[in-house]
Amino acid sequence: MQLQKKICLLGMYSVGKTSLIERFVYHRFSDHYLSTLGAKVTKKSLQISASDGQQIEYNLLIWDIAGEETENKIPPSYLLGAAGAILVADLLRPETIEALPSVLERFKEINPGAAVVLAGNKKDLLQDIESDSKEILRLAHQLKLPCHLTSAKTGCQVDSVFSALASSLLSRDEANQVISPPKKKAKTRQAKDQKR
Amino acid sequence: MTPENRTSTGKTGVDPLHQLKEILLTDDQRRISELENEVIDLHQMLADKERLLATLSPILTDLLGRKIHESRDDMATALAPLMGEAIRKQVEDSKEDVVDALYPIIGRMISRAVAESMKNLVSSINEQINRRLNVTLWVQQLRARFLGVSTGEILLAESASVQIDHLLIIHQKTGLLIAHKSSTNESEIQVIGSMLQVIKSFIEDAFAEGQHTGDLYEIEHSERTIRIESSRYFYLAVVYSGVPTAAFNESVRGLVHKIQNRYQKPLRDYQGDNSQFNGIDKYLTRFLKANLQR
Ligand SMILES: Nc1nc2c(ncn2[C@@H]2O[C@H](COP(=O)(O)OP(=O)(O)OP(=O)(O)O)[C@@H](O)[C@H]2O)c(=O)[nH]1
Ligand SMILES: [Mg+2]
Repeated sequence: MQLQKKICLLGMYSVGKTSLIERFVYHRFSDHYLSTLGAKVTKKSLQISASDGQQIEYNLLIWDIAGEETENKIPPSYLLGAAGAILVADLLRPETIEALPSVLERFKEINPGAAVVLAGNKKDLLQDIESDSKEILRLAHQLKLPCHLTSAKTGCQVDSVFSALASSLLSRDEANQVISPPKKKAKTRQAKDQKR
Repeated sequence: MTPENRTSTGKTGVDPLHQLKEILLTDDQRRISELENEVIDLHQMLADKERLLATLSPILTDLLGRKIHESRDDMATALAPLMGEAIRKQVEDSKEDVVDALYPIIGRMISRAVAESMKNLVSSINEQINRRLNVTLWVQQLRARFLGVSTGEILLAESASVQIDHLLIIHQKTGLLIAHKSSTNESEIQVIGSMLQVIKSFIEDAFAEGQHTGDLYEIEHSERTIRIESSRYFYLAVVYSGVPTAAFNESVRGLVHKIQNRYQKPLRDYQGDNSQFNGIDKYLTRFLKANLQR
């Protein structure tokens, strides 16, 4: 079964949203910083097995949304209809972690049922991973959200963040019965098509 | 028999007066206790709303029916204020449902009005043609007769050369591509659909005045135009080049209404599963064909 989903990458400017998408979709990285204007959409498919064993293909339309600044807020229509979001922070900039709860609140206001995971990015720059990741892990615990320490530069944990989001999407779709029971239906449809 | 009864029968054997009383009064006593039970039952019934309703409702229906039959106008006058309030309340409580119900009707009303003005346009062109005469017109009139349409329609069609590159059906809220039809191979069509959503949102937000948000209607880029026709849950984007006619515009609206009517429920409940729109392709194909023949 195939499902399309809109997902958003959110977080303050320069935390590495665009870089995470570039790494995940095109397997590349650039040190050059080019701030995103407005929003840009990229597509990537992800396979995942449902609990009944059937393969679900998620076609993710990933909205890379420019980091919010105080004067220009993200237009609600950019967030509208998203099934999930990855909230990104820069592990070396505490203020980007502190900004996450209000980003989450805004996102959840528009998409109450959506899946959310956290990403603490630029792990490759950390001297002392344990102490530098304390803050975001504490926040994740407090918000009860999955959290991954990523590096768009090395690719570390980048796939895992997106997979974590996909499995969150899956459990929601299973709970909401968006995923139709396997094979039986598919078979009858196939049989019909063959008859035609 | 209860032990109490047994003792009282024992006593009756002793007192003949009592025995006589009993013989004379048992019948009444039985009836009294029956009535007592009935009264208790009725009390209970009055206290128990459900039971009361069950008993009364057939009678009330009958009564209402008879009353309406006998004095229809009186009943209408009596009920009108109540009904008005009820409908208003209903609309208040379930705006979504009411809008859903009205959307196709309003759409059809508008398209009928447009069709009407189209007809007027065609007939005024016909008049002009009738006043003049030249060789090309002769040829066109012959063609028209052959095809069974009016010369005006032929003229309109020939002045219009719209080349359609893409048809996209895009979910209003998420910007996800529900269906599409392209003349060229386009692998990134889903992304194009979403980016269109970005542009649309951006422009609509940028030019929104307070509560009044307009819909983006057209984007032009060199030779190409993207026409956007919005419906409640989706919009149709037609990427074309050339000069559109009223007939083309009308067919764009027609396609939107057909899809809106046919797929109302899956559109409303869309969760990214496009297999619910399996039959949509034939609408798009038919649209392309109709605009090719012109
Ligand atoms: N060392 C290191 N640098 C990174 C990493 N991720 C991103 N960067 C760098 O950080 C800068 C900002 O990255 P972007 O991906 O453009 O940030 P963004 O969140 O998209 O920023 P805006 O579009 O302005 O909101 C760039 O110079 C990247 O090269 C990482 O994991 N490690
Ligand atoms: Mg960016």
